[in-house]
Amino acid sequence: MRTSTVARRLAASALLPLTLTGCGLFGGGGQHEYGAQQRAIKVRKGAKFTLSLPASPALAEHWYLADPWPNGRVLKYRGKREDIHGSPKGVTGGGEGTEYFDFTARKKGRTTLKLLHCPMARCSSATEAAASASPVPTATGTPDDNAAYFVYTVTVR
Amino acid sequence: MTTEDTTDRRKRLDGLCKRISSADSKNDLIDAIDDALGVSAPAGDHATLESLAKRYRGQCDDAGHVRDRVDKVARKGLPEVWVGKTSVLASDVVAAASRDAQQMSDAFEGGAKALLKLADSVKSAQDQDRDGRSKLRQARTTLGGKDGFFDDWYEDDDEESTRLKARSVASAGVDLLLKAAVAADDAARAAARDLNKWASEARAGKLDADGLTAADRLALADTSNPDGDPEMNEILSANDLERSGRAMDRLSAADRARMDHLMANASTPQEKAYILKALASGYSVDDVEKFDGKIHGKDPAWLEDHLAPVTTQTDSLTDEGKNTNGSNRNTDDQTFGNQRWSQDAATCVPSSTVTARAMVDPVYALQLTGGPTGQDADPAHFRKRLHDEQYRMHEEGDGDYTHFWSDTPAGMDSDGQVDISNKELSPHTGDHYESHDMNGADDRRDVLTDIEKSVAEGKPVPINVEGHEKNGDWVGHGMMIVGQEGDKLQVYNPWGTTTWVSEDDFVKGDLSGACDNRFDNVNRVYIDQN
Repeated sequence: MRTSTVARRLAASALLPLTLTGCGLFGGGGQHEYGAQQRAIKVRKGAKFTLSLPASPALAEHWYLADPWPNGRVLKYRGKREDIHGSPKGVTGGGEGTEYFDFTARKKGRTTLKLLHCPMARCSSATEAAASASPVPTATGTPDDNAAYFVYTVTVR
Repeated sequence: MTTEDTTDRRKRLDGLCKRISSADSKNDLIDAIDDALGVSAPAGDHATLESLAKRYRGQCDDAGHVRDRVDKVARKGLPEVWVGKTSVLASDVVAAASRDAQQMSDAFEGGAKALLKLADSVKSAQDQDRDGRSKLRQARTTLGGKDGFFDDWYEDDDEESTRLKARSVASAGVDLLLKAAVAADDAARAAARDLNKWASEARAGKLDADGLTAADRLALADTSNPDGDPEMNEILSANDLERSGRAMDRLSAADRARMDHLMANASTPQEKAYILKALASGYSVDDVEKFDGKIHGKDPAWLEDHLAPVTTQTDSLTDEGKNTNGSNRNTDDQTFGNQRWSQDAATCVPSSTVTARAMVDPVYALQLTGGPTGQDADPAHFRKRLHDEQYRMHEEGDGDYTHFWSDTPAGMDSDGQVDISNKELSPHTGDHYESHDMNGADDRRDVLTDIEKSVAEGKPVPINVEGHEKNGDWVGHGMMIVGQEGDKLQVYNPWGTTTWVSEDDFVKGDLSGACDNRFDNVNRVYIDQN
């Protein structure tokens, strides 16, 4: 059944107050999740935090931790997880996903961490991208359809 | 030659190989042998094919002489003379004639080679088939008559030994029949592919419009965009040439005079070819006139940037191996400025359809690249228009959204894909699109000849691939086959690239080279299958 864009927008406006209420209830709890846009992060010593990044299966989108790795005395890298959902069989091009990089703030200080964004099969590992003849640029904006490094600065207080 | 027959023969013999090798009673074995002998032998008369190939070789020599004579004229240094109804430079016509004669010579040579190869394969397959039948008859004779109803219940040691010996001979025989059927089928498909390709490259003759001179036809058919290999970047496809010829003939005298005027005043051969492509794409002379008003006087590089979404680079066919994700290393980025012709969000189906339409409809391509005036050169504005068009087509095909209230696309089913292909591509290619499920290598082998013919004529073919994520979830992707050379297919991926995959990989279903290694099955092809 076709649902027009207008109908979906109306439904979205009707749901907006509820969504905002939800944000007020749970947002203050400090999930310590950061996306691709917020690349200056301040956390307290001992806190756990996660970089949560879009990994659309339709766009073959993947993220990799790249060299140089964050200072191990400041941050502990706990590993990468992913939550990928395909689409219903027969619906071509759908699906949603997120990749998570988990860290613990170990000691006061500042370090950078570098993630490689590989959309649309433009790269398939940090090692391969580093060895590539065409250097991968550092992103200044949001993730797009080019391979790029996203450099985060993490300050542990 | 009907492709279904050869595929059916392969399938039947494949089944009979299994039946014979596992027949555990005399009567079952006799039935299976009789069925195998009932399958027809590979058809074709190799002597006729050889004689046709010799005639092609003779024509090839004649075409070569024509080319040599034309080259002599070209070397004499022609004055700047304008010829033909649409005013083309005489020197350009002579150069086009030389290339056309060379192509004609190549086509006859290629056709002769294809026929000779087919003749050899047919003969060898028929010999193999004959040997196989001889073994089957030998096995059948060994077995004698069928057992009666009660005899068939009991088999003594001698009878078992006879059956097993006969089964071994019959298995060898039916294997030979299958090998012969596979060889004949593959050879017929390869010959059909090559001959279709050569026929589509006999281009100038396809523009059959009253009033156009041979000089006009030669120059128009020969015109390419400036980048890449000229033979893979011709502006007018075989289908464009045919459709434009028919469209020209249908015009009123007044409209025909306006078209002739537009073409005669075009500032470059490329502008002229794009004017004709717009007419071939189904536009009225009024629309073509408006379109020409936006592109008139632009240089060939500008025309290519704005009107050709796909450019095939000269080294694109080089095999540079694969990345660790299974994709080909050698891909051509398809861009407008610093923006790719790539999908936004989960819109692979509408996005590949948008690009395919832009390939066959230059008026539409210019709306996307240059905006309403045709003069907007900002790639960021192109990106916005491309995004809007992908989303419009997603809505048109009743695509899914991530949630009921969401505006974020989440894929499209095959009904939607058929719908948008017929609404967006058919008016500009003349083809009708139907969805064909690919249930295995036989289905893909079967559709391959139609794909080859379609893309050789310049009509893109939508396909779907499928695979699984690491967690087992199903994932599908939509792409477009846009070209064919030798035994390779050129695939446009709405991730903004084109690359080549082998036809063998297509038959296996493995198009990871064009996307990534999740996609190991071509599950659907959208084509009007003959």
